[in-house]
Amino acid sequence: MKKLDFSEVVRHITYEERLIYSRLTREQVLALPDRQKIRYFFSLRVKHRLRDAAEDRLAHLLGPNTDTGIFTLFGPTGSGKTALAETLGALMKSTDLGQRPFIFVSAPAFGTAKVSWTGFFRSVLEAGDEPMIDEKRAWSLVNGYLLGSGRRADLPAFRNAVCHMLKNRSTQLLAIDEILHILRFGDFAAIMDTLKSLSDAVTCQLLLIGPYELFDMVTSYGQVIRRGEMIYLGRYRCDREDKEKNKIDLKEYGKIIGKLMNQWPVESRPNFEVVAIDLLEATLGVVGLLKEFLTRCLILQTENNGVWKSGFISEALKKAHSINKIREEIEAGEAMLIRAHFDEPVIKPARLQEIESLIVRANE
Amino acid sequence: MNAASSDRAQSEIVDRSVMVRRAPDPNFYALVPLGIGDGSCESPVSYLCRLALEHCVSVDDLVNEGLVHYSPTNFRIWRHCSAWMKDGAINVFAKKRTVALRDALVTATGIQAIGQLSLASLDGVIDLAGMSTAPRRHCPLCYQAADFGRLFRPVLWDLKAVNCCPIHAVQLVSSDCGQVADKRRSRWHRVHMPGVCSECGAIAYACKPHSHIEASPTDLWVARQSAMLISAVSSGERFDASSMPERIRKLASLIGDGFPFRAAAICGFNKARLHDWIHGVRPIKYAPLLALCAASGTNAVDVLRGKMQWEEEAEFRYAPHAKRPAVNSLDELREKITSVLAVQPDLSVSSVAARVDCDRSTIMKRLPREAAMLTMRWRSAQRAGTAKRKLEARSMIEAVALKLRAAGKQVTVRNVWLESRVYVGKGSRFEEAFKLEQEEENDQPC
Repeated sequence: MKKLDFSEVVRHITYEERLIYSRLTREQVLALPDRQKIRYFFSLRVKHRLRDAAEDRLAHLLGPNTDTGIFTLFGPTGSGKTALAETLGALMKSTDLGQRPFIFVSAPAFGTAKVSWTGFFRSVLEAGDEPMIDEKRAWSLVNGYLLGSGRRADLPAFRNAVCHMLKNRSTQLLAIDEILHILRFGDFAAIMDTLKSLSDAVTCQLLLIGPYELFDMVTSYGQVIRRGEMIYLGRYRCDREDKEKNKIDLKEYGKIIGKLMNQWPVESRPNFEVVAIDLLEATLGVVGLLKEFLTRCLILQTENNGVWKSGFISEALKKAHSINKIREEIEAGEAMLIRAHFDEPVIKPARLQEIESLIVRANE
Repeated sequence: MNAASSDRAQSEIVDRSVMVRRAPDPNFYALVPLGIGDGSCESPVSYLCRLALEHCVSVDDLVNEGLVHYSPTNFRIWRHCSAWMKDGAINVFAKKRTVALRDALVTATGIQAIGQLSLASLDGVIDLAGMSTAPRRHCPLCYQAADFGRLFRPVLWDLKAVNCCPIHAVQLVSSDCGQVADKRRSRWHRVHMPGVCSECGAIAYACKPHSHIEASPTDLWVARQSAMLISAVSSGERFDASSMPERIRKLASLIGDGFPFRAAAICGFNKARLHDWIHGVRPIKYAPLLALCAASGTNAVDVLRGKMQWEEEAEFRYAPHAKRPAVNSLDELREKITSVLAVQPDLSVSSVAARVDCDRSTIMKRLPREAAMLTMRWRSAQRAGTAKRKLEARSMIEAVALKLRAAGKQVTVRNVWLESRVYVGKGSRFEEAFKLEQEEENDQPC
């Protein structure tokens, strides 16, 4: 039997596929072919405390009644940022004709120092199911005249088309994943200005998704500080000084493992819940890394005709040098957030209490 | 079959069994047609142009590259948009084009109301042939009052019978461009949008100033009758074609005081035609129906509904078309060619075509006799010209040779050049004359 390649098997799982998998019974899941079983397991989305908190915050900020134009969703790799955005998109999905209230686009990487706005706008148009992308032409109103351009599929044409698409599709939220592909190169302020003007032109909210570096970049842009919101989707930890917090995180991580193992698509189920603390350390408390580890275990078990064998865990776990590299990045990001006093109130808690009591007294 | 392929096949089976196929979404914007259920309901081409503008594509591309996927009709045979933009027949009813365009738009956008934009639902109830007008017209006051985002073109303005705006009671004006030719935009930079001059891009046709001429009561009556009819059609009302002959007979009887055929003379149309309409030989046209309604004091839409209410009579009477003169377009072209030849008789076919503003192949194919005559004249003129030029060259070289001999010089290429600044070497038009001169010189005895 051909070996199942992890990255090849789990590639391109669409929302529709996830929806179908979520409706399968246990018997149907067990009857799936090996390849489908792995896709099924990898397609699972587990709700957990950190994700729920970020989702609630995001949902609270969305809508026409807020003045927040640009959101930034950042966190460590594999923490579920993209999954959260996709879930949000599924919730916003409209049944109205031709409407796309949520558009999710992954910013393309070009490998050069120059940002290809044409390529970016093309991706947005494709994500919005826009027809006839190569035939787009720009037009504008100048001093009482409607002037058209003779050129097709150039930058003004694409920008014009994106604005009209967002307006006509009643798009409320445009999510741009891997935004660092664009922000990393070129004039950062100019890029942010372009994105902001796009959002302003159509009164559509922008959701920028990326790793920790995004926080540092976006906070240096004044408009985002004033009109934007930052949402952090972090990880579970058991290495803090506060033992109580560690305990809560460990318990939650155990629950996540339990939820995933309940959906294990093979009869013989290894009991990973009892080693939750070890898995939390080995996967750095990142749910994405945990799911990747479990999927690798599943592949190994499936290739072994569904029989669990000792030695699978060490084969499935990421090696120390990879984990250490990820840990370094995460810890540097977390340290940066502490330095920047992220999510801390501007007034000290003690003074805040005093202020509140003063207000109450004044009312009396 | 190996394990991998069996696994793939199995997975495909599962894919097919568990995947629920979504109904394909219409990819084009669900743009709402303007003026539905109103007398100033938008026309299908107006909707098409607005849709193209919203999608930032040209109307040609929208039809040929976009809508073609939603229709079995090959739209490319319609030529480019500007040809049918000017043709009001699509907006009123042209069986092959209106229905194909309407159905494609409904499928592409998912908006069912687009089906009510033309008068297609009246097909069979009345004769819709020749109901539209060729030159584009508009009400300047309607466009002046509208915002850019709400500009559209009502189907009412494409009716031949309508000459004024029922809202502003002013006459419709021609939608031609008022700019001089060099200020008009090139074909590739034009944007087709209702309410905008497609040639120079002026919004609300501001390129051409118009004086507002008040409409006559008769014109206003016709416009209001037409607006009422369009309002009923665009709100989805359907009419019974089978009872139309009976209704016409009823109207005619009322007008002729019990003698239906007397109505023909009163209304201004042929008695034989009235016979056809009453006996269902052919459906009545719109203008005679209006004439019957005017003479009897009813509303046209009430006649179609079968609920006739008698009101005040109107002065509108049917005026038959003036007979076309027997001159066709080729005769006109022939006349133009004759007048051009009168000034300059030996022009080529291409030169004549350029002067009469037509294609060379039109003259060659459609007027072969004239083309043959032109070619013959031109060739003889060319031949005469060549012979004349040869003679001139010969006499000039002879004169130069004479001068050179008088000076005791030989007749060579260099000497002729120094004497007259005329090059007589290889490739020169004087070459032949020079050679002849040299031969003559050689033949002379020493």
